[in-house]
Amino acid sequence: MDSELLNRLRLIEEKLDLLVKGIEDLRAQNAARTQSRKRKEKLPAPTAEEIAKNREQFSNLYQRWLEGKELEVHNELDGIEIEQLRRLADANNLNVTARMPKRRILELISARFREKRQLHKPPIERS
Amino acid sequence: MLEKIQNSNDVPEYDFIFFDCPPSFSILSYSVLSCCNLVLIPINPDFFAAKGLDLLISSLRIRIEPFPLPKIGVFMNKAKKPGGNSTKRYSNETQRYLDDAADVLERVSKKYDLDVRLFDTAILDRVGMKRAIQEGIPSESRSQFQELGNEIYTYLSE
Repeated sequence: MDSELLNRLRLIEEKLDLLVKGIEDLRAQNAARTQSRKRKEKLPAPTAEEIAKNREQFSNLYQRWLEGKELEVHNELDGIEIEQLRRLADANNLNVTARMPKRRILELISARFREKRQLHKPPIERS
Repeated sequence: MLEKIQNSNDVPEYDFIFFDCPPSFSILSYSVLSCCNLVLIPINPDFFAAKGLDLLISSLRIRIEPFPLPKIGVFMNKAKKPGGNSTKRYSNETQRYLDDAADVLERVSKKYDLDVRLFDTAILDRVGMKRAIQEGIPSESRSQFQELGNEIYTYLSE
């Protein structure tokens, strides 16, 4: 009887250990997530060099988009890490926020490409 | 028109004379545009203003020829400041259309061989400007107009 009780107690203890370990793991994960979020918020402001580089990249992407490589450009933009994409958009004076999802940023960039194309179309010549 | 002004005894000798022309072409605006030293074009920070510059300047050229086209100066009106703690000079939207206007003007000036300039100073959008007739120019806008005036004067003197 005693040994059965002891076994049950041991089982309960093991389960409790597992629970405690699980809680600790969750806490560690949350702490890591908060830490990474904090790190993301504290990214340094872009330098003039970085802005110039982002503008050049945007201009190159636009030129390729204009040549008809829309899908290739879209896939390339989609492959860029979200924070870098935000910086690329911001360097090109697009209104992006820290919480804006990637899909919305991609939409903004596409809209800007279309706007630029409209701007470069020559006016209709009057006879 | 110019002859009439020059030969009139009633007109005082002004340093500068501004004619506020409507956006459409009439006989009055045609007369003014044919004899002025500078055409000053204000633009708003929006897509159609940037896009319309090309059309406006090519129309000006067609209407004024065979007279030589005067200098053309463009400045941004109703510019917006950035929100939050941004270190940018203007809002993203204003800066975007300012860049677009510069882009269009560069293309047009090369295409038609014109003397065109986009002034660096933009006039910020202020609620006080709407009350300026009764209350005078808001103090913070005064320096912007002075800077723009200096730029225009320098451009005219070149």
